[in-house]
Amino acid sequence: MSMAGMLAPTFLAQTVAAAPSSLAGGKKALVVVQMTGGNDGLNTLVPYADGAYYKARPTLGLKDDGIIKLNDQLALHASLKDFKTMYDNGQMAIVAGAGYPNPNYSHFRSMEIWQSANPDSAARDGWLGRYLNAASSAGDPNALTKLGMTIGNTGQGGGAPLAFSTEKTVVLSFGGINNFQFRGDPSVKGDKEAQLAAARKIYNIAAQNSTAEYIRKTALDALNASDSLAKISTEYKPAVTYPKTPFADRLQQIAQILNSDYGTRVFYVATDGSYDTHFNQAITQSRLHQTLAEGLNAFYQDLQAHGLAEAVLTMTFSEFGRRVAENGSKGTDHGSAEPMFILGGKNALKPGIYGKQPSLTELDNGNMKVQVDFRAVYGTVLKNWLGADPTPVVGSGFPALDFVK
Amino acid sequence: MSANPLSDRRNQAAHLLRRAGFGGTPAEIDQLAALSHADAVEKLLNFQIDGNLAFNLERKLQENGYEPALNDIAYWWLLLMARTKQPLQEKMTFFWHGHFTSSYSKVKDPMLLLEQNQLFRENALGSFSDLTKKISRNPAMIDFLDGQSNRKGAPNENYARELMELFTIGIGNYTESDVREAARAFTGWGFKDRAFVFNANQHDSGSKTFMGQTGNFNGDDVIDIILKRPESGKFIVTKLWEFFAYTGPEPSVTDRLSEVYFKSNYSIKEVMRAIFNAPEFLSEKAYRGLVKSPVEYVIGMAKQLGATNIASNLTTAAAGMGQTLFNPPTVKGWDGDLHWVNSSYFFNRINTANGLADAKQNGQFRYDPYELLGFNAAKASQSPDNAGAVVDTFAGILLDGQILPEVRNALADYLNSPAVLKAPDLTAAAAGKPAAKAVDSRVRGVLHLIMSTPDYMLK
Repeated sequence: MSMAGMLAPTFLAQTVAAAPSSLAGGKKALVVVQMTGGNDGLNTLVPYADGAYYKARPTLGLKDDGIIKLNDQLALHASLKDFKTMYDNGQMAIVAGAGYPNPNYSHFRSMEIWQSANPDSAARDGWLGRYLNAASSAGDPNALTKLGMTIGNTGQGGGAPLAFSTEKTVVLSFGGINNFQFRGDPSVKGDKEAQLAAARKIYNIAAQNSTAEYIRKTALDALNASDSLAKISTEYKPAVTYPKTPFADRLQQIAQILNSDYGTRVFYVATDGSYDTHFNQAITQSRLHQTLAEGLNAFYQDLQAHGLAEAVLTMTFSEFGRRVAENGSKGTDHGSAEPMFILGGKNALKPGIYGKQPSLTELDNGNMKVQVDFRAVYGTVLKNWLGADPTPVVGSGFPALDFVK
Repeated sequence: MSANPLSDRRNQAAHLLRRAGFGGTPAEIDQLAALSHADAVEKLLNFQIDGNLAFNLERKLQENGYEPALNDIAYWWLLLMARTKQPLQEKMTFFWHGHFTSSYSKVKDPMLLLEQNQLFRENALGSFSDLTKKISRNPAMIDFLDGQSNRKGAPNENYARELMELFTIGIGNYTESDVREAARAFTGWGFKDRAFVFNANQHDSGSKTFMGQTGNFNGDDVIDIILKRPESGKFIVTKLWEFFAYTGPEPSVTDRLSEVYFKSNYSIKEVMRAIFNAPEFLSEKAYRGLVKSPVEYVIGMAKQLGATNIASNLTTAAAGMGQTLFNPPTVKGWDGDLHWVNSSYFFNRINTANGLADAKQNGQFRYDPYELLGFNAAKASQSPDNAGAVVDTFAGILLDGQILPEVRNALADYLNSPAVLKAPDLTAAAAGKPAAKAVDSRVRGVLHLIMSTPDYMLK
């Protein structure tokens, strides 16, 4: 074994401690994890002590090895084992029964509602976009681009998620540092630089219509971001081995950026694959849950080792939960109310279960009744974590929960 | 630039080929430009359906004992889009693929997806009612939206909901109760051995109340009830207009198209004829009014560069820009237009353009930039002898010659550095002289830069 290998942990810790951080000076970051497709909340936060649960779920009901108990009523899906570890470490809060009034069961409309935080009218902009517009300083034209970032595809047909959009906001969509750079002819010295100079000149010429202008601005933002991101790519070394999943890879990219002085404060990622489990739910949901929990656990271990865990809060959501009764195909149809997971440093949040697990006997057309409006959860994150006024973002009348220390 | 580039006949033909097809080569544009716009539209509309296209491939593969994978069928279709003489047939097939979606991520059987693809091709310009009824019996669709498990007493609502929300009428025009009742009407519609079967014992033959009507409805009845509604006509003509012309059509446009649709008994061919012949289709607003999808972007480059060989990795390249054929990300298909624009997709676009521009004669993707400039051509022609002329020739092929003077100057400056480009430099580069390597790199660099302009990303 080489000397470097033997000394790795201490050496690594020293290296990373010296690395610049986006979160210097008490700044805080938020990671939003979208569980695309409508996660079955009942088989995520499982009311294992309730007979009605097993009655509604004759084949899908989880018991024994299928669950990990949190208390005498509720348990986690066994594939969320790593979440249990974080829960026991004081690094996780759960909001049970989240949703909004008059639930909509279209994937797309309900996703719009969660991303816009505006159930009552057609979605025009997103909650994170509204927050970032207010948070960015007027002086720095690049600030907005840097503050928010989408990592990988968010599963809505490409493009940036609605959550980030406003008339002003164009956030960075980032698929990996290696592909994120301008190229020329590598066999001719100086060609890349000459082409890049010409490209910059072209992208600085106002285009003919609004769509071309949108592309032009995206191009300029991309070139600027590429320069900054290329500089940080060598400064960070992960302190843990991340699982080999695209989701974990995206989280590692977030850790890399958080370890730089790049300045992004809000990240948005989607899980791998779809939670839309109309058919043979057990296998799909188990795989997705495992990817989710293992990835986030590795992410927080990495952040912890780099001294950043206390400065990063993660919140999960899905566009809806699923019907209480399973369907005829060992799956579940679209339903309402779902648990949201809040992850963070143990000094950053108060662990526990917030909201309320909905009744399985008082149903609305076969669906659970929503117990806590998701805008109260967003509002809590905005006010108590990011220090922002939640009213312009989510509206008023949503009292904060108590999960942030 | 003139006020409306679409007042020029050749630009009209190029525009029509970008919308009704995947972009034209200079020769294809010349052919159409020789006709009036209305005659060009007729030429594109009146194609002969080739019922065997997909099955020829299927048979060939099976004769060789080969089970195709996702990329095999994606590459096959990409080549067909690039090489077809009936571009509207493939463009419509592409539209239906993004409308009545089924995705490999769930279906996992390329043969089923290929058969669905052929269904779209055969019904490309047929009746929307027929197509909706056929797709409701299509094995890939049944598999994708869980029809197999939609049984009497235990309905699965997946297909019923998407049929209304995404395929025929749109959200806000049906109730949750309609979803539940429609699901009952489709119970028992399944497939076996890659063919539709009606499982009578799994069909719920009880009375259903759907959109205010009550009866012992089956799936076809449900479709008939939906399609009669004016909202459904407006829904489908709007979707077609937004795919082929521009987003946010004026009410006068959708009213006109809805009338054509209902009067012609749901004829897609009549709607498409009305779309292409609409004055709005040739308006300034329509010109470069939509973002090319990744597939349109890569095929357009291949055609306009005059590629003699198209590499199979163009399917992967399009995937990096957000579009994998036969594998749309959700049941909604691809949102398109501005959704194709983000910083990550942008780099994948321009880096693909760079790879193609740099492609050499012996690679998987083959083209000759000097042939585009009139060198090495069979017939003698005037080839450019300075940087500005090189830019103009390329911009003529790739941008309808519609290029901002400032952009033209930036490109010419790039070609003229470090030394002013002269005729002998180009002749030497065209002849492949090693001494002209730097010039060759610049000539290809100009193509890369043009294909990276915002204008080239538009159609």
